[in-house]
Amino acid sequence: MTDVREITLLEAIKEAYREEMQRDESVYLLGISIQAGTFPHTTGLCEEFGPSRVVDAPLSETGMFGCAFGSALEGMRPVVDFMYAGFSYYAGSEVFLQAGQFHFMHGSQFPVPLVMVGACGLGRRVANEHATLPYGALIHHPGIKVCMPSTPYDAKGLMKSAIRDNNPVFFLWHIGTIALKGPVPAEEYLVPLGRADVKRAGRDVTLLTSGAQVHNCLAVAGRLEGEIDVEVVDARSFEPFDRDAMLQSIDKTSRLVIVDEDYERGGFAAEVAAQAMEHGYDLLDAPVKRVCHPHMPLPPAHADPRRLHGGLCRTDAGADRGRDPRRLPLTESADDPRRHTAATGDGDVGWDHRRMGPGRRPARRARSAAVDPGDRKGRHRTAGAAFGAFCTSSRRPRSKSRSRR
Amino acid sequence: MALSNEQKLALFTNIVRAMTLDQMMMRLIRTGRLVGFYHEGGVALAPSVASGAFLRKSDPSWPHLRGHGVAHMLSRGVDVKPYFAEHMGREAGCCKGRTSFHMSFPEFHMWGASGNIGANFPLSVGFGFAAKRKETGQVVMNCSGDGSYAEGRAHEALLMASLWALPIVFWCENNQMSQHSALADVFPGVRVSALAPGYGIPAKVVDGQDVFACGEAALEAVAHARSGKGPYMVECLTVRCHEHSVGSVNKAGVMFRDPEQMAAWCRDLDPAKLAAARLIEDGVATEADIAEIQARAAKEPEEIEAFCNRSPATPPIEDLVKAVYAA
Repeated sequence: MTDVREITLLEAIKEAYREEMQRDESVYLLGISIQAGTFPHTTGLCEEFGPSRVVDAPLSETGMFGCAFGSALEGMRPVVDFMYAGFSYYAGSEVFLQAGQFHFMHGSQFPVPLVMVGACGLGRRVANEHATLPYGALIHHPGIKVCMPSTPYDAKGLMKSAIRDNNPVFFLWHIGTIALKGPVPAEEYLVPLGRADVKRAGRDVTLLTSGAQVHNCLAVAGRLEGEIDVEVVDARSFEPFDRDAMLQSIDKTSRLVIVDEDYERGGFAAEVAAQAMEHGYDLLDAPVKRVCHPHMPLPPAHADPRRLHGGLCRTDAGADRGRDPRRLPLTESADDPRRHTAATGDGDVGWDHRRMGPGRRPARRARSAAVDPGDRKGRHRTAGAAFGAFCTSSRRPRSKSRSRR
Repeated sequence: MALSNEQKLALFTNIVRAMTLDQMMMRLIRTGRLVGFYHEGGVALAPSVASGAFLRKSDPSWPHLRGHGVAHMLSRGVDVKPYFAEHMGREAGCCKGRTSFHMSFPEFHMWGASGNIGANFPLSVGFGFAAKRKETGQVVMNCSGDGSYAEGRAHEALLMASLWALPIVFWCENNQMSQHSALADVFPGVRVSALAPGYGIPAKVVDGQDVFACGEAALEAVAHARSGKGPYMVECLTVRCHEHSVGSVNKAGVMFRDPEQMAAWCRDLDPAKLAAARLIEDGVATEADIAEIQARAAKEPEEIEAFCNRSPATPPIEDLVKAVYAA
């Protein structure tokens, strides 16, 4: 009988670290203040494995990454934690120009088995350096694998695969999933890199997304249940990208919306859209849509994920959580009137440092009388109507559209 | 540390070979047979030869760009034919002809070259970290020019090497030119090694035209690092009597560099000539010995070129795209 526990996403990462460090002496963790644990996924590991395997680096990201890189060439398997993924840009030359290309550039003779780790995403309204999502930039450069889990199960399985991979892997985790709880089996398992996961099956439209946005998309799908049958595909890996899974999904739904929290310009969504056009044009009944961060910096003061991302990712539709055992942490603080006017329901995925713990916030209606239910309903209709119009726009005859593949 | 006669002869042989192959590189690039660019070594190759002379086979080393590392490889006993093949874009190249100036000799732990100056510093920290963690007794030879010490990553590496007492030799081949700028215009103070005490790293300055002085310094530095006392810096003072890379300007800032001065350096500071004179003076070698060493070195380019010419050019792109990821 499978022993399944409910643990948080960061606990799942820590389990992966612990298991891989026990399994392989050459695995070690390197990062800034990881012994104390800026984030909880490394706390306690130094006590367990000692300071030579859980290494605090000076505030020298370039040197720190180079240390990981060089030691990987000398046969170790470092996990280098940048704390926030945006801090990896300090080591931009090493990350973008050296690590991924090194294997090829040196005659495909030396593997570079290292894992980079960093938090990203808008959740905490800390903007820019702390929030930037580097996967669009990373996949532009050959040789680096990139993944981001949306659930604790995926987090543990992906991290274990990343540590065992013989290439540099950037393991991103979304700050909005920090305290996300979910079922994780006690026994060993791996989630392979390069494999997407259908988080919810549907027939009308495919939402291809990742990280915290998976939960927003699931919430939208739940809200639209009965009207539009939404399929939510979690990319999980950005590189290698599971194109077959995307094509299988649009073969079924014939519509593709890519929900990507990163900047719109030249990012992952653009890449997926291009691949859908190149390899799945005949499967589509409507142009591919992107829902991304606008082409502007990630602003701290206005970084309300529900206002950005075209309103589609507002989680006002998150009705359908009984179906899913995930426990979503909550972003909103009851004392911020701006949030009340923007918010239209519960179920936001995000992280507020004032309420770090996992768990459900009281239902919005119970907390806030300031929001007029009628107004909320109106907004639902607006967002839903636009989305619905897209999903039900005139179809080409299916039989014809599927003739070629 | 005093050098044995055998060690002196080896250093001399390799400086002669290095300078011969440097001129071979110059011929190749001038006749359009070299892929990429070339940064002439000229009379600045004595430190390069010395850097590798006392390393064990398993000691990671990362050559300096000048002379594209050939001198560093020779003294380590690396067969440089695959490196020349690499630089000529041939499949027999050490990186399968993909990269021009990158080198890859796994048995010698040599993964040198990057287009980014100073890229080796953080990597050396990693090599040293692994050596220390695995208790392999390896020493890391981190070669660079003076220009690298303006890179932040160099300073991070000095800090981390000192902090963790890593077995790294910071080997600076200071030709006092940072691309097309005089070092004095872009670096405060006159000695790169003046940085070392600030990081708690012992340092030594040597005459970079004297291959034996460089050799003695290398011996001492490697012994220091090998004994577990942490990093060590050696600054070899040398000159550059030609432009930065073949075909580029030969100026320092807006000023053209003095051609008479450079000609005088080439004449008076040739490390092979200086070393030959010393060997004869000290009775280590006769003129006939020297002539024989020179004659052997003169034959090498022909053999190398024949090896390269036998190898086909790199495979098509379809094969290359499959080579990006490790299995």
